[in-house]
Amino acid sequence: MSITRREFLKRGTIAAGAISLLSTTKIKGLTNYPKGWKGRERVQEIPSICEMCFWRCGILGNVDKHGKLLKIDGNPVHPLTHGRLCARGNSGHKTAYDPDRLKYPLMRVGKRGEGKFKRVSWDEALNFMTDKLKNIKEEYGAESVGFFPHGIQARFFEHLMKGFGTPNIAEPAFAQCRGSRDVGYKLTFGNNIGSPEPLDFENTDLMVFIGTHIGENVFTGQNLQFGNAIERGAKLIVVDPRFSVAAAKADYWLPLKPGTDTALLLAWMHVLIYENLYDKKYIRNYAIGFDQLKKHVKSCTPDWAAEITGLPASLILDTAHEMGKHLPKVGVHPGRHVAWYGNDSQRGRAMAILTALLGSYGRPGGIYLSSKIPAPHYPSAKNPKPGPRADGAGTIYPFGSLGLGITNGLVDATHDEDPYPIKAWIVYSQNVIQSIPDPWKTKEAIDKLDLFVVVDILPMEQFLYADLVLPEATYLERYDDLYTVKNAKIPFAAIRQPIIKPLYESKPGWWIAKETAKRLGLEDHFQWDTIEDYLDYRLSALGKTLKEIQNTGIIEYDKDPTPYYDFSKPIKFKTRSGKIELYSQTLKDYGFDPIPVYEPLDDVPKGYFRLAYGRSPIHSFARTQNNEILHGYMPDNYLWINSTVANKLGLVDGEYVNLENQDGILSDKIRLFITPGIHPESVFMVHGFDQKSPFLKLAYKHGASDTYLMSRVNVDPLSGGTGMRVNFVRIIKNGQPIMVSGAVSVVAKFKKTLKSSVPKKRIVVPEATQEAGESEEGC
Amino acid sequence: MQENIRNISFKTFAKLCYYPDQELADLLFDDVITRFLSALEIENSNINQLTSWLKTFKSKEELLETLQVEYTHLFITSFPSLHAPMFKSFYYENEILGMSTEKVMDIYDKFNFHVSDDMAEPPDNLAIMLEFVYRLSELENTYEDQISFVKNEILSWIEQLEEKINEAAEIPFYPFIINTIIHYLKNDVTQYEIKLAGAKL
Repeated sequence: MSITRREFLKRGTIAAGAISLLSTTKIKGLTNYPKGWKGRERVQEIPSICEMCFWRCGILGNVDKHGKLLKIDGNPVHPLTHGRLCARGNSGHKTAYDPDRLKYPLMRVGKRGEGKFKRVSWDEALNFMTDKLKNIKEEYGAESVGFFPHGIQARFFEHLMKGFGTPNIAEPAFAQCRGSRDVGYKLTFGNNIGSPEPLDFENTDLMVFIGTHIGENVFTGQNLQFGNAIERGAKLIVVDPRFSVAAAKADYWLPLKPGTDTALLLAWMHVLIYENLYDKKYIRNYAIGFDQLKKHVKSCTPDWAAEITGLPASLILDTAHEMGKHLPKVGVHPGRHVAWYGNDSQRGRAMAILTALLGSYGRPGGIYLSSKIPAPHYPSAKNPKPGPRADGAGTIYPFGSLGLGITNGLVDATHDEDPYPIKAWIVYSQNVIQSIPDPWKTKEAIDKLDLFVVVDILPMEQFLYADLVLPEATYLERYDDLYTVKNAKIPFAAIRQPIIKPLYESKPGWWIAKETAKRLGLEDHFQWDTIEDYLDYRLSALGKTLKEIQNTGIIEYDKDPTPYYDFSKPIKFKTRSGKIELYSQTLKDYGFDPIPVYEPLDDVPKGYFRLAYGRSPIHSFARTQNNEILHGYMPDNYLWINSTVANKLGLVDGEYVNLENQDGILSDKIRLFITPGIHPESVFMVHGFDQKSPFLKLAYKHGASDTYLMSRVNVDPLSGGTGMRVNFVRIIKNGQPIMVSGAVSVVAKFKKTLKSSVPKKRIVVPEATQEAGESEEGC
Repeated sequence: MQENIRNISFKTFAKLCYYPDQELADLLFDDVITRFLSALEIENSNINQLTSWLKTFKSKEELLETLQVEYTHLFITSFPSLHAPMFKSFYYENEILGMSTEKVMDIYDKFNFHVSDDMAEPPDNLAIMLEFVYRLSELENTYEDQISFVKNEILSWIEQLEEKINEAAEIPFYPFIINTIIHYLKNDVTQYEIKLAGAKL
């Protein structure tokens, strides 16, 4: 092949023209450095904030001369995390450099779900999306577009959607997480709890955790505060059917029967009131409804609660005494993910009332108050008045959040086209199939759409169904909106700034929103020229510019640093009465119980277990399973099962089984973890596994999915949140249900009321059970 | 003259490995590239088969759409999973911008090149690496550097890429292209080594 031009041309005069044409062809992947270029700068440390979960700890990105992120450290000046960073935070670079990440805008060329796409330019992608949105708005109204955001990165697009005119914006932080807690506390104290939960770890003498999983739900700052409180000698009561990380540190572990928490809370109130242990002055001065409460809990004795919860009455009494002894420095943690049984707002109320009886709301050692931080919003055109919501927030569910919306309500509305058709979804940094229960219904709702857009970092399962995929830059590659933390004793603002350049053609959220706005004629909602201008404006009231805080990434606002009530002045709570409402007339007016009542759940059918799920310190939701480092630490989830039960059933630690739920839905295989540390009625797995997108090379089909076993929910009538711990599973081994004396399959029973959206045995069936020919009546 | 043919070869291969654009579709549809490749007489290269396949397209637009969908399928994202990442560090470190990419960037730096600001692919993408050899071939006294780069930075992983392309391709285009490039590169290195051996003798 070492040929001369003459030889080459001899091979065909036809080739001569080819040479000429090819020599003028343009390729431009490489460019010369400018003259005088002396090489790149040395390694830099760039501060920003993490997004491997939602806590947004302070980070320092170490970048080499090529602009490559080498490692991530904690930012030592961060007021809550003080330089600490969890496993996920340390692994963030592996998400940025994940070969599976979304790289270019993609347009679907095959059928929905087929996963066949064509790379398109951003112009083509945004023009396609906005043309569709305009048509849908014209034909069906702006409210026919549903927006599912998550995180501060989605704020610019959310701003755009409000400008577009849709009221249908919903994220799972409310209905699938903490919404019912906030409803309960707001009805009682007039304030939401917010994030991070403002428990005064620094001054508390006794911490009470009910469904709080510090150590598994890892916020580095809160872990640190918790550890310091334990080291300082603060006591800890943990109520949990499972011997959690926090339970391992507890002075009292109360492994109650799942679903009986409210009975325990009422019994504690009984003891505090009838033994005169509560904070009388605080209640007298600041609360209403004490007499009704006293009457209400009269029969809720420790013996009564012992019967229901399965806990010894003496333990209930002892722990109530501990609270009475330490009040008001008792920190009842409000909990985080509380969407359990569908009665969750009332349980949140019960926790808030307990806090009130202890006199610890707005007091040192209890729950401290949020502070203000001045960070003005950039001037923008006024949003149009939106039409009625489709998700039921404020109507069907009177206390549903109008800000965060009700995701499942929006899915229902889309699925049933009631109260009106929803024709487009834009899903932004949210994983609608994994985060909202009953994924089949979600997929059926997607089928009804004329436009389904996914803005994401990785090709999650929902990506398979998208008409258009927009690749967002990772948190390490972009500016985001200013992150203000009001639930810190000294409130602060933190910036997210690019540590590395966006890879491929991924773009930051602010750019995507601004460019979309231009095409929708909504430029006046984004009147700033650059993101730097925008952030400068927001920081202006704090007396700083972006440039001035780029070296630290943080600015504290210490103008009014006392986060407790000043009892020397009159205090007005933001409730209807201006007082703490132990009895809620508002609830009464809406036809709900004005004081929480214990209502038993459905019994667990014999041979089945109540399915509980939760967090791991290694993974966040269904978001991090494809991260190479985190996958290495925890590639699969496993199933906690009580050791006594397991022994009776002949199960062996570490063996693989499948689960079948009450509707006959089978899980993929999962490994057993046999432990005395879980209530015999319950089994537990970490959420987010068995990713069903084959585009995720590491995460695909690892472990079992809890979400896919959630074919049923109990919806909280106050908040609209989904109680998800109402599904029952039985163990399937080698394709057959494990035999339990006297047990029968409940599949047929439940199928009578099975919703049409739930398939019969639809889920991925593992090879071992595919040909088992299992009878529905089973054992 | 020999160098001129050689640098056009590298330029053409780079062009074939970038995301297909209208210009590439025109060059293929009008037989410009096939004529050029045919004249190169690359061993095992069944150029007639490619020519016949290209003749099945009625328009340049149809050809472009087919190439873009296939490129997306093989190299960007595809069902059931990304088949054939076209960058070196995937094969060495299973990540974007791995250590091996940094080595490539160091070499670019040495010759005063960097990846263009509007180029979205990582520096060790095959197309950029082939373009680099083309750029070097336009500079004097870089022949040994070109060969070293081809040998150490491209031939060290390109056959793994070929294997993946062959497994997943839905049209014959990219298996042909990658096979042609591999044969050309191997022959290029062999020619150099023969020349070097001759010089030593």
